[in-house]
Amino acid sequence: MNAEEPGEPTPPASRARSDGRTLLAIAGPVLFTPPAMALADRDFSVSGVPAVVVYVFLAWFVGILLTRWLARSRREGR
Amino acid sequence: MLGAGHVLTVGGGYLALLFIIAFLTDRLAAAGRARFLMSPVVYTLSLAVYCTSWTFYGAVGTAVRSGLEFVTIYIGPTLALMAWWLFLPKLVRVAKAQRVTSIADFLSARYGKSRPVAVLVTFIAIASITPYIALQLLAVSLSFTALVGEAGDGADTAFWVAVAMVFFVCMFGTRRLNADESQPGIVAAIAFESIVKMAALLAISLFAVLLLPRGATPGAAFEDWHRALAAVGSMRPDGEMRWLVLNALSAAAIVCLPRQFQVAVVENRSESHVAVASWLFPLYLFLMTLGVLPIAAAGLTGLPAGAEPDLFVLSLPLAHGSDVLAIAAFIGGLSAATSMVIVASLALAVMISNHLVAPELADRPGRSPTGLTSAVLFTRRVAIATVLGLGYLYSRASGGDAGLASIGLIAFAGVAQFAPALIGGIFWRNANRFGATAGLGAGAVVWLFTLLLPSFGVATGIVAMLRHVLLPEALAGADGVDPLVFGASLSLAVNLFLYAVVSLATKGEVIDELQATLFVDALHRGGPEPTLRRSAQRRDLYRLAQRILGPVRAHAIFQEKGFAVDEQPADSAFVAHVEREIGYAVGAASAHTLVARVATGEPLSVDAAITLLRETQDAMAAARALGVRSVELERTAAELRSANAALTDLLTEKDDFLSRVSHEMRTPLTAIRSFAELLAEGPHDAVRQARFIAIISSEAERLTRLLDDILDLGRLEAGMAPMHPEPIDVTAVARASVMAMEGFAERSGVRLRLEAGAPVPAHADADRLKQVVVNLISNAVKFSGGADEVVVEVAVEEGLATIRVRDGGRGISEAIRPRLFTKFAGSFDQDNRNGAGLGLAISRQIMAGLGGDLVLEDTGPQGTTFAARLPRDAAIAA
Repeated sequence: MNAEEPGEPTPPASRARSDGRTLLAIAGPVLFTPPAMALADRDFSVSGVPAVVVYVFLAWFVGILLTRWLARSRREGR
Repeated sequence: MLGAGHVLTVGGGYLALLFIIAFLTDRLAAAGRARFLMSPVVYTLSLAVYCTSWTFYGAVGTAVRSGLEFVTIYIGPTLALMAWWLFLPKLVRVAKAQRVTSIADFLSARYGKSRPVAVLVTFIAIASITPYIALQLLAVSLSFTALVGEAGDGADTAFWVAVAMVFFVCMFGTRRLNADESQPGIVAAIAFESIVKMAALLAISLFAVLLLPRGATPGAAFEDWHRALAAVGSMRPDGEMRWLVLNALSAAAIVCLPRQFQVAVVENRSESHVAVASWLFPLYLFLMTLGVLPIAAAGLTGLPAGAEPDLFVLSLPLAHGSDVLAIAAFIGGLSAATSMVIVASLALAVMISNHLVAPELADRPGRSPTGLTSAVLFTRRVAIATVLGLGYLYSRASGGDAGLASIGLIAFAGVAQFAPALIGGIFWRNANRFGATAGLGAGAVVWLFTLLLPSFGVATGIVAMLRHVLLPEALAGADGVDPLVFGASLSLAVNLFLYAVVSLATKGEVIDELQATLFVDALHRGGPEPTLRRSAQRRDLYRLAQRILGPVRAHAIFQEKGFAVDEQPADSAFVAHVEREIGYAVGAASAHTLVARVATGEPLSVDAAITLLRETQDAMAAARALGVRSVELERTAAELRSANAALTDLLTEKDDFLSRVSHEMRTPLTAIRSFAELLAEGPHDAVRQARFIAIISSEAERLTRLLDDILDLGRLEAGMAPMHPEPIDVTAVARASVMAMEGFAERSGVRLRLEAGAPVPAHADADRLKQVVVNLISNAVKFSGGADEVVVEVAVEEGLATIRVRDGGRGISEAIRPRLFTKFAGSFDQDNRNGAGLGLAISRQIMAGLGGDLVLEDTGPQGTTFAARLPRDAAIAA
């Protein structure tokens, strides 16, 4: 019986959720680092919108959706 | 161009509307009917005070001038909120528990209620935010001029907006001084303004999208919108460092800007709102930023090349003849500017009054019936007017040169100096007031000389010298490292370094360690709050509370706890409570000083401090241990429950067994008794007598057998039956069993057939195994039910020696199958009148003892098959 937080045994589902939150908190900044931006800065466009703009807004929006999903399941988990 | 009168009327009307909304909300809140303020949406909208006119007008300008870099200001907060659960709930919880009134108060409270920390934070905030307020006022007057042309020059809109804001904030922000009441009117107005500015920006954005396909106006900077958008969406070459720094600064700004701290932490109504805002506020920012793109692209293709990009939002609808949208843009910009001005000036005024002025007032004898409260509120009003006045003067003095335009980011860098102390303060126990003061002070000085002063063209020599000393030759020049990157990185590095090193090198006072515990462990600390061990006479405390808060409030505080005002000593918890209440008026630092004067109790020694901390830590350890113990107890209880259930089952089985044993014994005993009575009754002829005796003898034999079986089973179950495992041939055992049973089978008209091949070696007790096979054959013969054959088969299956006994009987009824191998199960069977039913139970125990098992393989109308299985050559223990 190690690693169990004493007093507050976490059910497995919420542990997965807290892993998800940690991953998101790390992945978010990584997706917007200059190297990631340089990778997205390609020479094509999606119906006139440059690729890097599409990337920024897409990654941003997905990040918001994931934050919402994790915040929500956290509240329901309580 | 629009008529100045129209625009002034609409603008004035809008400001009047703000007053009405705030007024009505205050009235509703006073009547307890402003439930809508308790919504997470309102909380999110109040966070959107982040979007100032710098966003509303400036984002388009930045996009046109520097490309995609403008998104960092909005992505930074999003990234910070993705990790909201790390810091926001803790900030909110601590701020509530400590009655925190501002970010200066928070930091001061964390670092041992240190007044120098509070004063330092207040000065940094004033230096960063006042020019920022000036920028808002300037935006209002510039947008007004852009809308009405030269006619607007006479009307000093910035001045009148500043005056209106002074009135507004004084009216709705400085009404009361009470920890339990926030500023509902202001929150409602801010939320409303957030809706207005977003609606305005999105409307103009939509208008811009519709304009795009029309193609370029002659003389525009770009010929088609694809190229314009490509320019807006381009990454600045060599802009990586700037990109990173801007992201980091805006992420820090979301809690470090005094106005953001005000709305996010101080005005927070419920911790659950934070979870909603963590995605809803980024969504707001996302939509605002998305709206910027079409406006920038349309401005670059639809306006003359020289047009000011900072005013595209206004000039675009104006140039295309949509006066209504132009007015909407003006109102949107006005709402963005006023919302920032309202919250920022209030936050600054609270800091100024609590940390700069009130500590000086607190020593004076109070005469007013409301204690210091009215003096504090008056100070706040003066502070609001001063801050806005200074802002206005700034905006006049700089007159729209480039100096003010960059102040937004410089302000971000200024307030980012709070970040190490703020975040370190809730996670790092050893951080103390000396570290915080050193870090904040040094960071602020570096920021002042590398960023703020140079932006006004003052002291540029110092920053040039710093660059020359610190940077390699190639990067030190004007086109080397970006000035913002240089100033922000250097100031934050110095700040962080001193904060950490000085904290480690020095030891704070007792109260530092106490407050550190309260802040760091805010989320997982149970039990009573650790307090400094003090005691004060209740009367002294009451006098103090009365002097600062006025008799009404002082009375209420004592009544809440049910304390009389007498000579009795008040305990340390109540002293701490009074101190917090006073702190709401005069700040944590001076409240602490004031209370320390009347708290004459135990002098605080190093010993007491250590005891105090040990008590705290002991309490935490005890709580943790209790948690562990309760988990253990729960586990033990579950084990006990299952053991109890098993025991109950055993008990039932035992009762069952006894009743069956008595039943089984009763039958032969009854026979023996009745025949014995018959014999005793009188003379019988020899034949009858012999028959009676034979019956008695056979029944007695049956009884003996039954008792033998019971004893045997008992021994087997207890594991005490002697077993003599040795290498044997299973086929030979099966053959011997068949031969032994042949006579019995023949009498019943059943033929026994052995199907066996080569010898199957195993390690077992041959006699016991034979007992099992004989029992199986005997059962098979008894229940063969008219079929004329019982087959005994020896085989090796899956590495197990298997003896299978198959009969052609009617099968075993479903009802007794589950209990087949328990004691006397057989006597349930209608067909089993003779068997005592212990056979199968004994056989299974024997097989288990031999390391194998006995199973019912198949049963049904076509017959029944039992299989006894043994491991082939493994040595059998016991």
